[in-house]
Amino acid sequence: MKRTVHALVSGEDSALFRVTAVFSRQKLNIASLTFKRSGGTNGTSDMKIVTDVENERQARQLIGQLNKLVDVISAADISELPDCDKEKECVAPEINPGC
Amino acid sequence: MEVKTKTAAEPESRLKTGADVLIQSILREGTDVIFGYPGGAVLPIYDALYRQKVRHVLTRHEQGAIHAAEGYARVSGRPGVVIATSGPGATNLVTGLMDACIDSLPLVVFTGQVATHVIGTDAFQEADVIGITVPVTKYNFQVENAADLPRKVREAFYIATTGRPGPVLVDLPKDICAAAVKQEQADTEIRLPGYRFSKEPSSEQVEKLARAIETAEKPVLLAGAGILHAKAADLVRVFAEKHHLPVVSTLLGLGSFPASHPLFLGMGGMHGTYAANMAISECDLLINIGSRFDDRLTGNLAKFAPNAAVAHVDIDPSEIGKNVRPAIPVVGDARSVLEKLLQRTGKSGEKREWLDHLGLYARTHPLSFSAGKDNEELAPQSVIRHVFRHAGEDAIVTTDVGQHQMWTAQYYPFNRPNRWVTSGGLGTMGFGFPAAIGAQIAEPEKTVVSIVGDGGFQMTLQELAVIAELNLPVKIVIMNNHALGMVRQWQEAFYSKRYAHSIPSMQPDFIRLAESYGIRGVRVATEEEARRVFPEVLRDPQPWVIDCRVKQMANVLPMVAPGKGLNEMIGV
Ligand SMILES: Cc1ncc(C[n+]2csc(CCOP(=O)(O)OP(=O)(O)O)c2C)c(N)n1
Repeated sequence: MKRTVHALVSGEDSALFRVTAVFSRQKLNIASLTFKRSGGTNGTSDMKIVTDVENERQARQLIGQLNKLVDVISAADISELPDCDKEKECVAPEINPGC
Repeated sequence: MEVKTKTAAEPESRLKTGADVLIQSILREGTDVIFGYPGGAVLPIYDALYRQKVRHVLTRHEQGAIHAAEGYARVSGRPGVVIATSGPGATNLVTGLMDACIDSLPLVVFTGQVATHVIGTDAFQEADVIGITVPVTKYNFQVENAADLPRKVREAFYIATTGRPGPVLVDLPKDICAAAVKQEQADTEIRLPGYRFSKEPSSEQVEKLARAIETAEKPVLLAGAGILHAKAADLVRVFAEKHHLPVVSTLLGLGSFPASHPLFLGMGGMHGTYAANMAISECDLLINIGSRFDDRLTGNLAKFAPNAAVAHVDIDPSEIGKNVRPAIPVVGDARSVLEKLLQRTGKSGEKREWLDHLGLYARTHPLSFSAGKDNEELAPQSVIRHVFRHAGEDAIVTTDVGQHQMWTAQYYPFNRPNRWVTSGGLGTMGFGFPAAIGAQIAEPEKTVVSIVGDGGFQMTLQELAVIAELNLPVKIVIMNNHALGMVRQWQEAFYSKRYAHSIPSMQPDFIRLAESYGIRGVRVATEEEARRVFPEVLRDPQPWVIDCRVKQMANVLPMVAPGKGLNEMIGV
């Protein structure tokens, strides 16, 4: 089941690593990933990750684990959003082949 | 606050080092003791400790320090604080960090790091501690600027102690600690936009739960350690009594509900009581407060609580639905949830039939062992009874991991909260004895007994030096079966008695070992000796090592074999 996840993360350098660590811990492959600094001086970043989950439960668990991270301001499954909304939320769709 | 390039060696009156600011910040959090071990990268910190006369306990291994901090946190509810040096000092902490993470213990751990300009060059004693400890901490970070120290320390304590507690690691490059810092108003404002937790449950969910309790015919309350973290043991009791709820405890939840209470059915799970496991298997409403449905508790999930609507109260939303999908999820702190539940006037009627039914299970299938005659080999379970009889209601008991741990959980009636210290989620051998050191430091007036196996004790017994040095009156009860008992038991049951490397051919003379540290030791090999020795040594204000020679082949029973349901116990 293809899923697209968006996460707004704080500026800590380790946020990218922490977020991807959640995927590898859950044995989820990452089909594509974009990471883009979006905030001002406090530096937040937008991440969009396309992955394959087995079922709804795994998808929910993934979002739960991401939201638990101290560096994640918000994480959501945006798979059901219409494409235009997706583009607004993820800042660099052009470099994301999985989008 | 502004950083100057002055060296620590020539302090000006208004200039302090980063390390001074660090220690001040740690003290500002109410810290009364630090467990640690020095080394090159933390020399500036130790120099500041020397100047500031902070209580520091020098363990003999970093693992000892972190387990001591865990024991301290478990009994006091306050964060345990640890300092270790870079590289090997930091990597020696990994087991303790994971242990604290899975058992939700608040720790703030400071590790030294090589100086900023050599990070990434494989410098002497450099390790990527942040990378190594991401999966074993609630949060970790490196401090990049000495001026940030007050705020970063504040944030570390805040994260460790709020929401679901856990370990936070702060990595400190040597130059940050050595830097001269001009003292101005310290910036301690917390800036953590991504960190949130909700103590207060949704009223709607609480209402749903309250209604379910009123209509349930066979309810059971599962008491987890979340109750202890939330300091809600008093409320659980009132709540259970109000609704006549039979109570099952998890391993780590022991003490959250009085073991001698008529509504208490005992511990559930792999080595739980028959009554507790049957209650879970037959109930129509399972109210889990503060447990994470660990597999050692649930057994085969497909057979877990098959007839029950499950309510799950947890402060960590990611725990809800992880293993068991609840009909009534409640995100919140156990105390807040219970307060709300108790505010409702509704009172449920007594379910006499259900309670009688469970009472019959308890009477017909109690935990049992035979103590043996006076001059016969000692039964391990009997040792637990002797300890209970003479340590007193208020004693703190820590265990290591293995058979002795399960026997303690089964046979030691914990009637008060925060008296039980054990490694639950990780099952860390070597935990028990150093944890007792931390517990004794947190509660100097209480009797602290550490019940350990002869195997696990050998993993951290170097900390005997600490109890000798500080004259901590910890009583170490070695449940000496001359075997890695729990491994041996599994080999007996599931590997046709092929005892591969579970019965070592040699072990030290524990009495002489203790004596070499200046600690008194005594051997107990029979019932008669146990009756004589325990009342004497448990009341003595000195540390003791009590080497109990127990039956080698005794097994922990009853048991839910791996893959089986809770209703399929063997050895009942
Ligand atoms: C660090 C660590 N290594 C290995 C194990 C696996 N293990 C679990 S129980 C056990 C045997 C413990 O023996 P002992 O300390 O003598 O206690 P007993 O079971 O005999 O009471 C072992 C090896 C573990 N839990 N922790």
